[in-house]
Amino acid sequence: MKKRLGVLTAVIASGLAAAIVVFFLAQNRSTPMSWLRAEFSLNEQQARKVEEIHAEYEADCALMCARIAQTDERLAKLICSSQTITPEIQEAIVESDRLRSECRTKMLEHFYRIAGELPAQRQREYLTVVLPSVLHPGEMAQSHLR
Amino acid sequence: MKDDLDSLLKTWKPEVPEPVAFKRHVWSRIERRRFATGWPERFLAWLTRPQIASLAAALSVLGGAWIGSAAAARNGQVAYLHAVNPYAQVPLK
Repeated sequence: MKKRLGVLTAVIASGLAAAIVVFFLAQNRSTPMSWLRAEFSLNEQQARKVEEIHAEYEADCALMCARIAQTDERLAKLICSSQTITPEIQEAIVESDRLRSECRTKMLEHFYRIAGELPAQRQREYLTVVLPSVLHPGEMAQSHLR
Repeated sequence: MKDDLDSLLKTWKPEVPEPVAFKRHVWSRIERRRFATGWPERFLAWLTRPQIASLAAALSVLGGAWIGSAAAARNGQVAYLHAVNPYAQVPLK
């Protein structure tokens, strides 16, 4: 009986070991761009173009991120230093919303540019994957940070 | 006293089972035992056959590799969505 249980354990352990090894190997080699390239079967030329677009957007994205953080900080300070809604708070809320709308528009613009470089039959699939980021960017961010 | 014991021993006939009936009885017990074991024991016995064990190990490795690869791909997608979402990069306080 011990020998039989040993065989069963060895079979299960070999599967688990394979899963862990493959996961970490793939994970170490994976970058956001390598995922896009593998997932949408991009050729060398398409991959290079997509990487260029992504690099361009990355700079914009970092800038937008900094602006959102700055606006949020200002709004938080105003809220904490008041007991009622002041014109400054209203203005800061409007600014925060305006900035977020701008971000979403730029994000969507970027997604359309990337989709344009993908094989025609995979464009819709790509847009389906990235759509939640445009529709619910805040929720996506929360789930990513978890 | 000794004579009584001798005569008693002469009359004693041990009941030895008939060889054919004995064998049949043993085999029927073995069969009953075999069918009485539960499926886990039978499954384990089947699994420990060398060919089946090798096949199971190979399938387990392939399945594990597939699961690992799918999980890594899922992580790659999350990493991509994180990289393109400015909201995801704003530090939460």
